[in-house]
Amino acid sequence: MTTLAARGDLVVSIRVAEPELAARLGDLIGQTRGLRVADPGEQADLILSRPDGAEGHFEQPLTPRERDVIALLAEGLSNREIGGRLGISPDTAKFHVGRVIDKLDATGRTDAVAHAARLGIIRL
Amino acid sequence: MTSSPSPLAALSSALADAVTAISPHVVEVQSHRSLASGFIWRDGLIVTPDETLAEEGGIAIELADGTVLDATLVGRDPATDVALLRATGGQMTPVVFGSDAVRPGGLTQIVAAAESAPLAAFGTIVAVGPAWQSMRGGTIDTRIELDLPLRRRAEGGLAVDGNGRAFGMAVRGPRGRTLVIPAATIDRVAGQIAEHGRVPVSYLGAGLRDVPLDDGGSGAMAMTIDRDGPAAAGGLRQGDIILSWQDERVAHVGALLRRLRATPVGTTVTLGVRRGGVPVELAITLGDRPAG
Repeated sequence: MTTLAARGDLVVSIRVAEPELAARLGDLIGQTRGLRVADPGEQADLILSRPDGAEGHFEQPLTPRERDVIALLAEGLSNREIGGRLGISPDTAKFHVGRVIDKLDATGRTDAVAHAARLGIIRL
Repeated sequence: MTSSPSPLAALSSALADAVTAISPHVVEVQSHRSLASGFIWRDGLIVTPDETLAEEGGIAIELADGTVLDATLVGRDPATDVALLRATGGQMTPVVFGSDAVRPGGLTQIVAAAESAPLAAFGTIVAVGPAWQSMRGGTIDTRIELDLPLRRRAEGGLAVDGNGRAFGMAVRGPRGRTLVIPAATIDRVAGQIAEHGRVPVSYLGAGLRDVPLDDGGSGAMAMTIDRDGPAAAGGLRQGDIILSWQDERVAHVGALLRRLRATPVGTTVTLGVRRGGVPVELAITLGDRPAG
């Protein structure tokens, strides 16, 4: 704690997918004494994200295509089956699946189902 | 004064000997635009990671003696990253799994193949944990993580303990981590693929999503019902909220799925459901998920 106090302002990183909400939070933090928003690449003291982790969890938000993929991934479909459902090639599906898994895994062991169930319907 | 042999030289020789001993069980797997490794699981049957195997096109394997054989796909299970190939004609000696030395801090080697030559890696077993479920809901019997970087071509190689005994297949996990699919998982999944051509997947036949409950807590609401599916046959209706599975509370779809994946096809389960605010019990016999 002494190091934080010695450095002055607490540096806050905003990890929220919605740009409007992120902008509002940025404004509020900017008006508050003792707090400031982290510069790009700067190590933050605190991270601000949504409590349910649905989107705030991600360092980068999911693209619309990745949202489609995550539900099918949670259902346990193969890349070929995911490609078939979405009308894309199995190799393209595989690429999206890899991106989704890397994003999901940002916090270690994660659960595609938990994320997907917040975003939409999972067919089991 | 005569110099005694360096202990490092002895260690080095022992490591190289272990690679030589295991490499006859390891093959290169060539599929469309992909080179990876695999190993001889049973006579004529080769296990390789699902992830590195191309989605279409021809497959060939190259044995340690340089023989190249055409291979056919028996089946693949993306949930556990196991694919099974069949090839005949060559001299194939199946690997014998068996290790009691899979502990954190233990040393391990990966023995893979580049064409007919061994491709080796050496490192530490970082962590050994309980069974876990993959992103696709497959059960991996033990979580084994290694600290060594695994090149793509070495995926599918055998993980070997300090006694030279194989304990699983090395694969790349998310974010480039090296994981081992343990022998128990491979034997179970490859066995199902060999028998059925695929791994049966327990199926309910309902589209679900998490919903908060009026009186606190949450459940899994049936948004859609597959008309020909097991849930419909058991009386589940659109709008029902599933609250329990075999008298155990399930608060969300994830919890329901974990129980579903752990229950074999053909089992009849009791679901506790809230329908229009009224508790209802349903008996549903799990089906096998239709293809596609």
